[in-house]
Amino acid sequence: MDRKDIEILLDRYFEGLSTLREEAQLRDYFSRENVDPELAPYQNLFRHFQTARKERLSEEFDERLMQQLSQIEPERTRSRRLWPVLARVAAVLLLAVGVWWFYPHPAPATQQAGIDWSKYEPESPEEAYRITRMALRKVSGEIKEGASKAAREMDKFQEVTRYFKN
Amino acid sequence: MSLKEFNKQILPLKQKLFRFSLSIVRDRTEAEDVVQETCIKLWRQWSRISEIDNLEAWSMRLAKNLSIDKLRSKHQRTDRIEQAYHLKGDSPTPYQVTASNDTLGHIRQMMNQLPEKQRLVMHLRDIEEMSYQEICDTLQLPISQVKVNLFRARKQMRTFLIKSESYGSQRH
Repeated sequence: MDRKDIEILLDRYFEGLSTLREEAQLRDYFSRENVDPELAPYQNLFRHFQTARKERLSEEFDERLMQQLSQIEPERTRSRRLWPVLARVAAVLLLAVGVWWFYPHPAPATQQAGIDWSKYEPESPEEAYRITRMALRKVSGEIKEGASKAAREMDKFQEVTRYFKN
Repeated sequence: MSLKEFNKQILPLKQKLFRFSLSIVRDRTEAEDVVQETCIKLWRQWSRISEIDNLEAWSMRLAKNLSIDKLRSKHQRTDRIEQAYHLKGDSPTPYQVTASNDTLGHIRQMMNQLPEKQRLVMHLRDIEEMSYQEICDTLQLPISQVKVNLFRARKQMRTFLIKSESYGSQRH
């Protein structure tokens, strides 16, 4: 690989577009001794990654860990541990049912008498028309009376205004 | 499930867990403690381990959470940057051997100054060489977030490298 290829790979790397394979190519290139001087600053970055990857636990770690683990019993499976919980839930349910059973239940409230609207249903279309017409006439009379009352009030108002103007 | 089975499945992950924890707590002794605690927790839950889809990602997440707890409990987050590459331990670490080169030390320091998500994504991709999907599973982030964080981390590192190079050339 020449310098130009590496520069293209480096651009892809810093843009976050490089693949694992391309990154391995960069690591391989920068692990050499004879790196192009122009690219030398980047060599330190890849050397840092390689050095950090060599970090290891101390040699005594395994022995210390095994000593610890041999003294610890793994927890039992969930299905076994569920039994006490299920037993508690069942006991609570049983208690609730028992309380409900022995508690005196109040008698249901008597039903209130309602209005039998069927008595007021018109029996024929003619009767329905007559009732509707009567209702509309009543509404119309109320409106007419309201309008004449408003006209009377307006006359009074005009009279008072004339008095103040004079 | 026996301890033998546990060793077969979990112990191959121990160095990866250690490096990941070390990138967060930045202290070898504490990172070892985190790996030990992670293994103990996994061993306690071993009977339910078959319910876990991705054991490696699960273990890494556990190590990450324990590392963050450790860091928070000691209020180390901000004031340890200066000590970041003077790692504790009796024998010199591989890093200490090569850290005689100032630039490597500065690169490590710069990486430690990245925001947490960027640092963790960069660690998993560039040091552990994990795929985007593995990083998503480990950090429980959507792939878009992983890519954005990686892009920002690398961009920041490039800026640093260019700056330190121009500073170096001025000195000489």
